[in-house]
Amino acid sequence: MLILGCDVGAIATKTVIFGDTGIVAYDITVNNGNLKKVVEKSVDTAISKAGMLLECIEVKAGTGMGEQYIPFEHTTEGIIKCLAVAVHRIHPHARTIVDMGGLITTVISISEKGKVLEYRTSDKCASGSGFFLKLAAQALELNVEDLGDIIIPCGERAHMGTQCAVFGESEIVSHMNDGEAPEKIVAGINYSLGSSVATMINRLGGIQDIVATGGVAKNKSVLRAIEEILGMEVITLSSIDEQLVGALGAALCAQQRMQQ
Amino acid sequence: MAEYSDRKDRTITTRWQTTGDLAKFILSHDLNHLDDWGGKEAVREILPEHFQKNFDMIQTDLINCLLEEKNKQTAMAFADNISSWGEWLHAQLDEGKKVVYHYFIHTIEPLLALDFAPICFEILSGLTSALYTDGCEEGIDAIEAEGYPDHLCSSNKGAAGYLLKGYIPQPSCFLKGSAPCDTSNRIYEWAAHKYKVPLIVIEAPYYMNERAHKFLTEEMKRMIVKLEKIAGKKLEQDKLRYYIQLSNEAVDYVAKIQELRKIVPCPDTGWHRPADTIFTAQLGTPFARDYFKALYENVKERVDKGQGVIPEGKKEKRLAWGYTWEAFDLPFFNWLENKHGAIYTEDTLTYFPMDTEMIDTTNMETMLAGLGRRMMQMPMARQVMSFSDVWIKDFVDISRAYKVDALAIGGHMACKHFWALNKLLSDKVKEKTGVPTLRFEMDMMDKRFTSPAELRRIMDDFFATF
Repeated sequence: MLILGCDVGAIATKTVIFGDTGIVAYDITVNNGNLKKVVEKSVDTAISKAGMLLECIEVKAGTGMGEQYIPFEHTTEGIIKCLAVAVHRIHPHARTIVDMGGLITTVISISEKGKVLEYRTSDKCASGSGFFLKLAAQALELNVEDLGDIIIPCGERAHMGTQCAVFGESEIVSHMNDGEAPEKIVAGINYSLGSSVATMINRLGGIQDIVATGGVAKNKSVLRAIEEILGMEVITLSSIDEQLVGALGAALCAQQRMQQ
Repeated sequence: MAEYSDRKDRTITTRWQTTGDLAKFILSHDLNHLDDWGGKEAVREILPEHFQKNFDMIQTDLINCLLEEKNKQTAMAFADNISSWGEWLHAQLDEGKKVVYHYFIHTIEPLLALDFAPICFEILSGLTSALYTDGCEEGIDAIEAEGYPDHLCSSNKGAAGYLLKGYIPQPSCFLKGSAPCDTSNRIYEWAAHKYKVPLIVIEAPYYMNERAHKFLTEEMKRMIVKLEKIAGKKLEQDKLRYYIQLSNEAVDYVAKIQELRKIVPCPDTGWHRPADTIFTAQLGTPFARDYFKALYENVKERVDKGQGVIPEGKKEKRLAWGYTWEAFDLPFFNWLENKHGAIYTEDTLTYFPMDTEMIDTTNMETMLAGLGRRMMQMPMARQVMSFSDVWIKDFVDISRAYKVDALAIGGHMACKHFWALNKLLSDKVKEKTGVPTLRFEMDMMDKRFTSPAELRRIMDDFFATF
């Protein structure tokens, strides 16, 4: 049986086609002004990569902030549960999930059986999110994807006094005006972001294994900062792109629903 | 047809009165959804002309929520209340009675007995926010344009903005209990200064005990001396007794409803619960008594029939609201029932403690002592005239007594005292009862902060983890 899972996030739309052998095909499309069209494009791309038609997919599930833009009939799954189900399936030893998305960072504590025990989101604050990194990259005229490659000794990174995305941007400009090297500023940004996420993890007890998901989990420098602050390893899932975990979770939740 | 004032300084209260009459008109027809009559536009066409403008302003989802069969009786009580209260208030103003704007933790029996026209300041924002598409945002924007900080409480901001715009009557006095927050203290100071009228402050004691009760009783006496001076008359014992008896009757109904809500399945609907705060601020009037009596009869009828309020086949999830909720979206609670089977047990802003006493009306001394005690027990005053222990104990008790499955806390962004306490509260409730908490940021009366759609998404995510 084939299941389509679509996660319409704040910055990107992710679609997976999940079958008996695992993920058959997937797509990640960056959102632009017309979310409905982005969702359609992401779904079309994924199903065409799988070499089939939408009508051939028996179960369709959606999650994420823009889930209502999915243009066909589907089940709606909560993103927290999606993340818990997907991470538990791939890495059963996970007890803490850190999902660093485009706009919101979520830390979830799960049981041995993958049940959500507690969760915390960054809610109104964009610190610790991909949006923060995007703003920083724009200010530094760099590609956001390149920010994670900059890892320098802690004594050399620029100090970021704020974790607020808005004030952070003006602080970056101040560092640039002071002639600070861009890599040191980037290292400071990554550390600042990692620090706010580490605080959230600590508030939920910081129980290992800690698994990172979401687009920001691709930033190795942020993960390193979290590990440095917590003194614990933060794992990424090698078998799946970090951004696809929510979409996979939607598919798995729909599967569970059918089995019930 | 009722007379509707076209005076600018009655803009808000006339709007409510009209909405009350309009709601009664619609509810008197055999209608369960606006679509039954062809949608909002079609319904507008058949309304009497004097209702049409008001109808355009009301939230469509709210009308449809009130028309649901399970909500109709309480909707009628709600409509009756705001219509009668508006008519009564305007009659008081026509008689030349002086307006006292008071904070929502006060009971108003002494004001009524001294022939004032009392208006709860925060309810001006709250009810307007609850009823209309544009909420109380015009008031909020007006006071912020005056320089009042945007991160402070919208419950004060909306009303203060209306005062600035001349949409509500000029005050003769402001009455303010100093608890719970500095935000509200400052805006009352500003308003009294701006309109050059007295501000009477009832100092809050530091804790909930007998010493605090004695202190508050003395504060009541001090308040009455000041009010008598403004009113130009002495407080009469019999008159005060009359209003306190009305207040006692209302509180008795509240206590009975609270008791019935402990039953599984919960027999009370959620949509009206934020609105109940409004009627708590009316204690001492026949309108509050009649409203809570109607609620009680509605709830009791369901209990007698063994009925709940969630759709058949859904498993009931019992929520308690550990602090606030959004006032701007009453249908949200109906949506919670219908979509998630989540019912509303208690909250901080309408909850009377389980040991609430009736006021002894024997003589002036017993009545003032009773008013002091009641003020100490009024929702929100109770929780903040103390350290965090009272608030925490209340919700540990509520979680147990009402068999609560989850605590939901809408963290009103302006409430510094709540943000200082929120984790202590949720940790202790979890530790003592095992009940989890959902905490989220919002503004009670300004939907531009966290929108209705966002709130629903937060809830969907939360219930998916159950």
